[in-house]
Amino acid sequence: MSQPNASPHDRLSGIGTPAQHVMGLVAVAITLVVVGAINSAVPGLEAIILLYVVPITVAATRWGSAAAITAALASALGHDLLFVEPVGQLTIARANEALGLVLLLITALIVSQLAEMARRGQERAREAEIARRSDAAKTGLLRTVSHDLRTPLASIKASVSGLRQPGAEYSEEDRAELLAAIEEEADRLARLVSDLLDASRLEAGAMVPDRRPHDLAELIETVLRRLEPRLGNRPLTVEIPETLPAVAYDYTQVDRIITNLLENAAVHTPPGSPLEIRVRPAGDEIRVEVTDHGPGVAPGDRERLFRPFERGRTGGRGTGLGLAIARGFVEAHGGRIWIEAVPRGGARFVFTLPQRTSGAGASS
Amino acid sequence: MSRPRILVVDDEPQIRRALRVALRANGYDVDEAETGGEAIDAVALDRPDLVILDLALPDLDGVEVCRRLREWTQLPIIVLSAHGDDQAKVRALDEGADDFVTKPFSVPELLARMRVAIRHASRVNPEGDQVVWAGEVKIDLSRRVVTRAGAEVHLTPTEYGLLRYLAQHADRVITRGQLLRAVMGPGYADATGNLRVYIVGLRKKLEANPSRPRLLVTEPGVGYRLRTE
Repeated sequence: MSQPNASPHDRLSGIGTPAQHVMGLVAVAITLVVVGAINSAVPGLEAIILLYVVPITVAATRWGSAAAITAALASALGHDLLFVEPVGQLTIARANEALGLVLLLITALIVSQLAEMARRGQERAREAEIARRSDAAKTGLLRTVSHDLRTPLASIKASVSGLRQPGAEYSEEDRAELLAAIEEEADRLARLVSDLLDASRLEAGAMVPDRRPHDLAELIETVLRRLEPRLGNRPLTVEIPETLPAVAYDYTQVDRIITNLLENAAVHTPPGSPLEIRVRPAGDEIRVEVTDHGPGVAPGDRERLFRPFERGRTGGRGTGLGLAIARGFVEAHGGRIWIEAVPRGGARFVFTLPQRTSGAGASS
Repeated sequence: MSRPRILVVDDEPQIRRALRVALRANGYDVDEAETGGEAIDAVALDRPDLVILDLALPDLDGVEVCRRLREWTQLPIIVLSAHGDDQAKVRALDEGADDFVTKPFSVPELLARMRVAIRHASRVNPEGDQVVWAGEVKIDLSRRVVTRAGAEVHLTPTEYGLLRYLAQHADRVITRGQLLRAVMGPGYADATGNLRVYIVGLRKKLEANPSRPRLLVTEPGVGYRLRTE
């Protein structure tokens, strides 16, 4: 994932943050302790100053060039104060010591430049990888969309060209079946196109809910009436408390959420299997549950199904967008949506609508 | 004569439904399969006269279904492919599919392909006709003579070889690879550049308007077809 704020090399070049300098100093302090220990065991070891390359390198690679220079200066000063006779005095006047300090500074600069280059290379590689993955995702999405658009088109074309073909002997039932297929597939295309539009608006963040107080019971009744042909003869149970706390929400969006959940159930559960809709207050939220008694959703699929073009394993023919759109609308309201298992088989789709006590949009 | 039996293999129920109704109205009996595995079983059990095979199946690749069927049966196979799926189409044809239609297709187009495929399959003589007519071009395979509007056309040996192969498979699509292997031998299967040159040469000699061919038509991305109908 990309960093949401400044890019890493903005944070690692320039004058550095105090924390970065402190970290450089801590690294040098640890090195000084080690040098002290070695010095007491093997006195007069000239090559010991090579050890200071370690904190400088660490500072350069992890905390940036400013921290590296701090580490170089601290190393030179610390070594001079602690291990060069007379101890406790700065003896930088001696040409040797001055040269040592300069060499450490040069080391710090070179190492931090190299570290910086490596870091930028890595970052470019990571950005390229992110771009590649998002391209791959887009290609996959386009392929799915074109397949989903093409299949109904192919069936419409086959049905229409069959009906228009001279000489074919269609019975009255055949003709009716082909015409029904054409209408169904045209509806399917229309649904897919409007789902795609909603999904792309959601993606663009252009679906700000227009919150106003509405009667949720009335909304559910309207949705059920509209979906009657699709739900067929399923036994329906609707449980809504007489008195619900007032909630302000976007009527069209919540209509779509409930519609999509019910259509999803209609597509993925056997005809005639019962459906339950339950609304109840839960804390400072309203909880809406749509429960079916179909094959249920495997725990591993419960999150996946809310992503665009992910489909369940029942072989039902939804657009693959309904649940993604439902989630988009629920989240636009500041609520959550999830799937629960139902004890004796089936799936429960639950979403919440927060009650907004401070009333943006609550006035009408 | 009993009605020819067609096996429709597609995982999309709405495509199967449209084909079932349209094919029945055109005098065919229709069986259906949803997956490649079901298709192979259905061919073995029901012995259809022709298979209409979608290339995008949930279990087996349609190309693989072609290959497995061709291990033991020569029944005609017409593949349904999506637009832009040229590679799979060519591989299916190379694996022995007889022809293809691209979705979305029209029923008359599919019926025409089916008639050609069934006619070829039902020939007693596997070499086909001795004389093939394409427009005003007559290809006499037994005498190795090609005439156009009665006048003999002189062809190079390679040109004649290509034309003979296309005539033996009249009205069926032949992939570039199949043509090259048949005429120039297996080592030339990739020499598609040369093939274009020969086809252009043939068109100059046979077509009324070589830049708008009516007989030797190109199937874009796939190969060529000699039209006799």
